[in-house]
Amino acid sequence: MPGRPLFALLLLAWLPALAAAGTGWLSQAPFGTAALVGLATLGPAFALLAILVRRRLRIADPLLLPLACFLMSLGLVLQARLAPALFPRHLFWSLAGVAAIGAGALLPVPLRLLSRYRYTWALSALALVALTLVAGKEASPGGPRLWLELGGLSFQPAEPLKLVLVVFLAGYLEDKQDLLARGDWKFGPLRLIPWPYLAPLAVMLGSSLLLLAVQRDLGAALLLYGIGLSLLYVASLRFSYVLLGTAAFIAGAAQLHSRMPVARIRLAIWLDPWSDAQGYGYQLVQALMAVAGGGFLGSGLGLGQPTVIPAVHTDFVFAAIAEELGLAGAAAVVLVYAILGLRGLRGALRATGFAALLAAGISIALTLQALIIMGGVIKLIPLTGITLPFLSYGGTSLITSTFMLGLLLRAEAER
Amino acid sequence: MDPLEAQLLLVRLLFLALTYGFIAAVGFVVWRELAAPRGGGRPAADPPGPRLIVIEGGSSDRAPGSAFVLSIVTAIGRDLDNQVVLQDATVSGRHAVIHHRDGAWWAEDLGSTNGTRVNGRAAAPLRPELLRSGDLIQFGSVRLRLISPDL
Repeated sequence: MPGRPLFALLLLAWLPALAAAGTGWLSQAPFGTAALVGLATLGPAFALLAILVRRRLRIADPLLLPLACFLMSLGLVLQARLAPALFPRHLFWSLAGVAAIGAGALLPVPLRLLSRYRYTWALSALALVALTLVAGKEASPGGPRLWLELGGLSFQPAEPLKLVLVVFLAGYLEDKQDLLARGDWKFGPLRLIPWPYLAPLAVMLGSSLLLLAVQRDLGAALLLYGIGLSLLYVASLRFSYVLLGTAAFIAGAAQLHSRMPVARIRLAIWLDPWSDAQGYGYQLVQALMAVAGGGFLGSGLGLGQPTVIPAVHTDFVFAAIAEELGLAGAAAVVLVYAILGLRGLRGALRATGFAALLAAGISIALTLQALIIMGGVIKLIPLTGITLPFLSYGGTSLITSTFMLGLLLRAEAER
Repeated sequence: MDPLEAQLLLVRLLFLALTYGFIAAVGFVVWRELAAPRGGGRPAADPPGPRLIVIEGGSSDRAPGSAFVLSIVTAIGRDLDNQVVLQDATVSGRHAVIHHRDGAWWAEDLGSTNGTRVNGRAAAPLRPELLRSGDLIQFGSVRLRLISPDL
């Protein structure tokens, strides 16, 4: 990896967050110093990581680290402003996240190992998610019980399940790639693979979705389904799977709508949040007003009122970005996610076999997750609660996203 | 506008300038990569000179994207004494020959069972077909693309 552009880009990626915190110092808000301390530790951590990655990986995308640095620095400043009480923990998890990028990119274990033990990973991740059904803790009283607690640390098993699903599908589809592409088994006008080969895939995806649906974690379920379908298409290049998958999605969504009150409420709020602006629609209405209030330039960090939105530091962080950094700032964030996804897919094109599918799956997972929650917050699609990768508060989410980014860096190098 | 308000506006504009500056820098790096596809210490690209790129390998172990370098006469078939060996059930033992004559490349089917196609059109046995760079050549169910920089 050529050195100079990497370090220059890292610096350029780190500076905007510093400027965003500037309004805090000018208005003498307390988050200014916290943000500065955070940025002063995160910047060197990224520089150190870049040195290590450059030394150890023969080739690696020079843009992935700066893009992550941009998002994580901005996330640090946003968390200092939105949830000052939680800021020390967020700083800790951000630094751990930098380490997780390093672990994903540099651990001296071949990538093949991930693929070889895919059933082990899949079963353990599913077991952990299942455990939340009996021993789960909720974030707010009456909310979905998505967390496991162990010695003061809480942990959200649906997050690693996302990565495990990508690994499982990539490994499985690589194994059966020739079968998939041939499609000997005809179903009407569609050519599919014989069902015994499709079964492990369907069981894994189906049981994940079922678990998440029972848990009422609709955002994660939507994300996993999207990942599964995209990877199936990438591996087979057959549009019939997409058609079949979309039909299954519509059928499943209709089932959810008729059986789950949560799904019905979400749909009703998406169609008209103002009908219940003080109740179920409150969060979305507040978010929409925040986005509208931000205008083009935004109010400046610390000068808006985004904290009236419930969960603004986790799922709704994009609304805070739109209010305080404006349309221009929010558009920049969208652009950075888009570039991240495109660079990841470019890496996938250069890799072969398992690494290629893994890279494609990770790129799709990260961008799709960002798309689902950003779209939900601005009422483009029905709202389903998931975190915004790299920006939201939340240790499990940060560690999972960063570890995935590390694997993405390595996938291109290991071919 | 009081001075604090002016300073705040300035800082907000600075944030946007730096943010889009970063995105522009990212764009610049991408543009430079595209402008110099062989630079940047990356491993060498495909071998230079005329070659066949595998588009679809059939059941042979040839991955899509791998390349065969062409010589003046290149025999293609399932038998191991061909220069390009395609272990696919739809490829005949001695399937076809690609050769260079009169400054051009020609593909000649050798009476194979499943035939040879150039850009989807079936080639008559033992009648050489004129090839251009970029043509899609199909032996049985194996598809290859001719890349010849000098054409």
